Amino acid sequence: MKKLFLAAVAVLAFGSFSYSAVHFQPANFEMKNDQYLLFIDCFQHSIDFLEDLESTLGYGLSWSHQTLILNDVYASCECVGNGNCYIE
Amino acid sequence: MKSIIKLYGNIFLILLTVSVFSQNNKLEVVYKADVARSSSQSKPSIHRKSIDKVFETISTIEMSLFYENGKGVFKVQNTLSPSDKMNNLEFNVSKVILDVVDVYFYDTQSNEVVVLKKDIDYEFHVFYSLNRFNWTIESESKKISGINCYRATTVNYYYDKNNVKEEFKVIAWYAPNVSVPLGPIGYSGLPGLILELEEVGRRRYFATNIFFDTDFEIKNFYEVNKGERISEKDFNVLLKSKYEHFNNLIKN
Repeated sequence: MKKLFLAAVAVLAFGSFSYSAVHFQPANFEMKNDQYLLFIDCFQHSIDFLEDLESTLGYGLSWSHQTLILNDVYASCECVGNGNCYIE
Repeated sequence: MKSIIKLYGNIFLILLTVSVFSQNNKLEVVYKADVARSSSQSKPSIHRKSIDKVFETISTIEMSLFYENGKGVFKVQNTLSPSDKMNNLEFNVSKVILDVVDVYFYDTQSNEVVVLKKDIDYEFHVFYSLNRFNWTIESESKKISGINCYRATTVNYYYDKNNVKEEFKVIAWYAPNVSVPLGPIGYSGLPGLILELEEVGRRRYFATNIFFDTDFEIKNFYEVNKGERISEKDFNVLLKSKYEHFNNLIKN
């Protein structure tokens, strides 16, 4: 569920806030500062990755594919950042 | 005289192929794919190395279409061990780009394609008609692995991040002599096996090997009896409602 939530949050923020993580305020998330910084960092990292990937491909991906990719990149980043590895 | 020999040679090859196929009623086609790469990407990026690795991975991924007595399964081949896959971001991203995260099941008797969508909290069998695509069959032909193929075109679509429907052209090369109306990633409904398929400007799938006498049991791959069945239309509505739900959650 966490994975799905993060994916949905990421893809929605990607669509709704012009790729800027700065505007993003998690509504029902309680995080410590370091967790929050990692969240923002990995969130931005996954969006940048997706932007670069689409630019390399030369075409846009469907939003369901974007969700999957954001999800995987976010999970990979968090895994490196705090050892919380839940990549399937 | 030479051309007559060549013609008879080709006819013999096709007859042999069809004969072998009808005897066994089993078929495995191995596909590989290439993906469009824009030439205009110039800005340096910290992700360049990882994205290059994604493209390298895509070129090595093999997918198989298994067919036996009216049933087919299309899936990515397990080239990595589960532990490698767990830590391999590039492999996961490549599967998404090639649209092989899901497994595709075909049933020519019930005229259905079923896509198994698995996530952490759901498992759906999204179904649509085998004849969902409105193909235009053309007279242009070419040989793929010695098998005569004809060109057919259609239009497919996807929803972008703003939920706007985007269409793209699809070109398929199918073999009328192999009477299996299936192909890669859910494409189907042609009067022959699809050996090459291009989503124009996006990606291309092409057969690298065709085996007519492989040793497999389709029932070992066929999982359509488990999980909840949902039509493609209803599944899209469900995804859209999830999308809107989270959108409202964030806005509020």
